Amino acid sequence: MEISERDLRALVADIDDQHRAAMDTFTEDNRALIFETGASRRKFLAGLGVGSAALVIGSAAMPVGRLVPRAWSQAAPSDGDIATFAASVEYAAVAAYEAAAKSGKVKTKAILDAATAFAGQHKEHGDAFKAAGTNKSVAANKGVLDMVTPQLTAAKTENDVVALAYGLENAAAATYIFALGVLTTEAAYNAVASVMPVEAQHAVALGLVLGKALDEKGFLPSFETKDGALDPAKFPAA
Amino acid sequence: MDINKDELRRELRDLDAEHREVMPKWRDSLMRLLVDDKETPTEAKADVLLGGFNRRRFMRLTGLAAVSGAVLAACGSDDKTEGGSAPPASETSATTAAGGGNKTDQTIARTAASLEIFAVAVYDKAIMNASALKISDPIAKAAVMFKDHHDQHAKAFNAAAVQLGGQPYNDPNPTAAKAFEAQIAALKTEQDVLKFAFALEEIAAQTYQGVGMKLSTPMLRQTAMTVGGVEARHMAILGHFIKPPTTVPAKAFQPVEKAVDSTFYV
Repeated sequence: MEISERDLRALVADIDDQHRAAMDTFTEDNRALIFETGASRRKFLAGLGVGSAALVIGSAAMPVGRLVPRAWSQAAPSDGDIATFAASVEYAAVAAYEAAAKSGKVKTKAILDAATAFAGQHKEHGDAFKAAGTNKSVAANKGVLDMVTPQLTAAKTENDVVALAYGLENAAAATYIFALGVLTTEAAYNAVASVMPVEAQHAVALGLVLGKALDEKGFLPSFETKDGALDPAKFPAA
Repeated sequence: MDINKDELRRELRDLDAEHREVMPKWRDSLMRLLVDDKETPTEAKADVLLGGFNRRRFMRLTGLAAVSGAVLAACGSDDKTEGGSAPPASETSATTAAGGGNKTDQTIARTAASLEIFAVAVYDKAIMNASALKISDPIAKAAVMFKDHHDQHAKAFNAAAVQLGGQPYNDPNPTAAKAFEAQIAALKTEQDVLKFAFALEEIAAQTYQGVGMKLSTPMLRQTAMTVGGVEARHMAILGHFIKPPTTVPAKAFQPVEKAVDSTFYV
């Protein structure tokens, strides 16, 4: 990773610009949320999460996250509901990694080993969230699988597959950042707060495989964001 | 009492202007109280609405929900000054709430700021001595970036401390400075620096997770983890450069055994 001092300065400046650009939407959304009247606010909240409908993980651009996923804006979910949703996402991640390993497109042993390790960790996450959730029979999130599977099928190279996993990990991290803002019980907080950093680290490990530059958006942000958080309305838990 | 009609019209116009200026702020606070603020008990909300408007009480209730806005606004200021410094607390879009946060929230925000400033100092030392420590270019670039991140974190936490009714803390955490003084003096090689930085980032990541339930609102916890997640990412980068590479994440769930305790509080 050779880089000149001039390029470094440019990278750092770009990182700062990207960070501010990412926060611009949040600030404006917040202003509208606070100052709109009741009826307008409901309309505004109902509109949130529409961006998530177009969420595509992987090489496609991820939509900017919104303040409140649609389902969570209309009726506040319980911590148990959030745990069930989280479990479904984790089990989808397990399935995605297993499918990736079986696809034959990932040939580097170190990457296969990492995929196996990450799948195992996601299984532990899923089991923990399921135990804490309202649905003890929760399965892999169908919506997430429906989104990821075609992309895995279409992947032409090992890097395409890794990029897909990278996007999924960042989406999970963003989703948990959002969830932390609504959880109220200690058990739920502890579960999500102990998993969120792990998803972030998964993302970084995969980003290193992809050779991402330090300043690439979403790779090493100065603050975690909710950008790309999965909307439970679009990806309901089974 | 005779009153000049022109004077009356002027006074009414002034009153109207003042009313219009105040109403958006009132609406803002009311929305936070009634709609956004999940933490205010129903009885307290009723008291504010039905028990007579007491500004001090009202601001106390709405202050907590405003704090995360202060930190996040500090993150994403329209301020275009170099270095990405967060705006002063008075410029944030969040409602200012004198005494709105509790003492623990204030202390944690200040302590977090002090730990971030300590991290800035450590990375700065490594950067300034890069040549003597034989730090390679890729790692030096990462150090510059991480130093900038920690600087932004410090500013954000100090903005939060002020919004919570406390005072900012602008020095490296004294307990950390003392605890790690010998280790820092003993750093001789690039690998020494990497391992030390990794250990610090790990402490920070676990600390922001560990203080979560000490903070009084979910929004404050979320805010802390927007920083904690980044420290975890820093760990992953540093672990990659350590020889042999340190497995990150080592476990499925991040522990909190290395989180700082109250002896580090400022």
